[in-house]
Amino acid sequence: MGLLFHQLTAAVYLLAAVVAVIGVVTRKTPLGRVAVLALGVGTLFHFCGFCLLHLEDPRPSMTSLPMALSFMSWIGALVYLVLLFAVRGQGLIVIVAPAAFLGCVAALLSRYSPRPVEELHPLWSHFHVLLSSAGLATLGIAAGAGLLYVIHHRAIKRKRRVVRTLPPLESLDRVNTIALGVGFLLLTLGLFTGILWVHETEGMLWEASIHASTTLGAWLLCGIATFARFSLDLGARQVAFLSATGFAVLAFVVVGAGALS
Amino acid sequence: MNLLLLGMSHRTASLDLRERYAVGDLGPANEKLAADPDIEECVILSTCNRVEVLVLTRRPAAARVRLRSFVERELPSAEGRPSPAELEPALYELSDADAARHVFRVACSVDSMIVGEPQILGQVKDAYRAAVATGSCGPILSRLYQRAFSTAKRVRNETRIGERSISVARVAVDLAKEIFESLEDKTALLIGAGEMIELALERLRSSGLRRARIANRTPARAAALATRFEASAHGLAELPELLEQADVVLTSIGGDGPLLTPEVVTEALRHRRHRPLFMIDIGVPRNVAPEVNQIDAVYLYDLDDLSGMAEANAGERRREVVRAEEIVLEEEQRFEGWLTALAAVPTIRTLRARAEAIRTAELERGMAALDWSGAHRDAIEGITRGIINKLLHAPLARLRQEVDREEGLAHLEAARVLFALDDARAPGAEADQGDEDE
Repeated sequence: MGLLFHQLTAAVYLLAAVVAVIGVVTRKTPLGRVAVLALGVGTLFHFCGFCLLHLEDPRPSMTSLPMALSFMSWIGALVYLVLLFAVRGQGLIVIVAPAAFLGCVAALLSRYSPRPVEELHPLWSHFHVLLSSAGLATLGIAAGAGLLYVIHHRAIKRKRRVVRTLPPLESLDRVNTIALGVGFLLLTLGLFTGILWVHETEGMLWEASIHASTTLGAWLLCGIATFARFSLDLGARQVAFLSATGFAVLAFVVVGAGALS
Repeated sequence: MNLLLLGMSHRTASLDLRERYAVGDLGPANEKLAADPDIEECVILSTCNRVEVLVLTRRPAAARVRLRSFVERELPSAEGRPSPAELEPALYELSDADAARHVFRVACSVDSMIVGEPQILGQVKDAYRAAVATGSCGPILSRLYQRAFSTAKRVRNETRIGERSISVARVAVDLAKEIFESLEDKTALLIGAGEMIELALERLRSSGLRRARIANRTPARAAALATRFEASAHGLAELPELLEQADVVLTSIGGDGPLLTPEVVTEALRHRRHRPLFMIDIGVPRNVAPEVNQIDAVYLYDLDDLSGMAEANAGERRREVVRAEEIVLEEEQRFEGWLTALAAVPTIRTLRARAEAIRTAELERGMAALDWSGAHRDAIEGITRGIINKLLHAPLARLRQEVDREEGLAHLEAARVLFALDDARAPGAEADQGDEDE
């Protein structure tokens, strides 16, 4: 049943993505609203899917990469929908919906196999994965906003109006700033709970694994972007670029390290 | 009589070239051109989007040479004079019916960068008034411009071209919305106090903008506008401080060089913590140096950029433009008819003068023989005048009516032959000289 809801979610996310892309191409703002609505429905299905999985297996493993990706896509969609209450960022749907779809599909394509219970610490492992995934998803939103900022900035500078359905630069900058701050905080908490988890299971504070060291590197990169935004008074375009690059590196190392381990 | 028009517009010339041709004071330029013996009447139009010189002449070949030299050498400032290679492709030349139609199209805003925008009619009226004030605009061009104004009114009433117009102010607001989430908490700085600034301010206000500052060379004019729009008025000396607070800057002010240079803007940005600054420069010559757009957080648009924006929306207005063009053609043909009818005037005047001369001469001879005077004389005067009028009424009316048709010119020629109007020895011919003197 949980799987069925995941498939349903993927279909609705796909619908949202297609409508969003058509909306941008045809420059029809109402289509953007339809896509947001579809994404909202998708997040509800996604939530139901997680609940059902939980009923089927009281401790579904988020430490499996596909499940973590699925969770990230859900959190990302949710964060975006919440941000819409504060910021005029409807145009971001063109990035959020396809990303949510891909995250959901990644979970569906892989075979979900829960690890033996004894391998997992019921508390810190879940906190670590939940917080880190939420952090990654939120940083993904920051990166998406940053990417669109750079595209929109170039279009306005070059006097082209090819991306008229995109949110205003100010909105993209605000989304970028908020998501960067919140995402970095969540990721830091994720890292911290990870240390606690390792400490409880291994009896040490840091394990010398690819996952741990690459995550630390990416965390530092995101830290620099956040610091630059809030303390160094760096320009919006530079921060947008930095956050997009930071997230790309982060996603690469997390997914890459996950695939390797 | 021939009409000749030489000019350049946003369609043919870059802003860089147009701004070298901006004529600040039309009076002296009109006077200079009208002083030429080959030019009967002239009107110069100079707006931010076009510079055009319209002349009326009896000697088109000579007038064309004079007009070219005036536009090439005398209209631009000595240092801004373009090379022939640069100027030639930017110039267009129209004559007679084409020139008249062009004046109509310009007044109706059909040829505007932003089709349907209302400011151009006011600018054409200003150009006409300036020419009338200097005496360079005579009865024929006056008639042409009056007809152009009534055509513009007709186009505005009978089409929806105005409703669909995308004014500079509207484009500015649309662009501002691509940068800013909302204009409510933003500050606009408007440099200048002319009509464009007024329209822009009106539009910005209706889009929710609350804070506006107006800076002008003449603070009194800025103050008058500021009072109307609940804004604050400033002098140009305060620009650096005003720039620090502004989010949207709109400039339309006269002057020789850029008012806002990259140095001034960079200095202002240092205090703004990289908040974006949106600048629209509709001044000709430009008020903001084009290099300012290279500054990261600054988005600068000038008139040529706005032209590109307007083009993007051209499809929506095409239908209304077609209807407007039909009205323009109709009105231009009416004017042509009137202009052709003018050709009948000398014939009619000569014919009347000849008839009157014959009548007077015959009456004098008769009176001398009869030795009548007083009441008798008055009665005979009235009778003979009545006969002449009644005899001439039908043919003269016919000549006036038919002259704008092809056969009308043949009738005119026939009248001149039948009444020997070109024969200096014919009875009453001595009256022609007196008539011409009038």
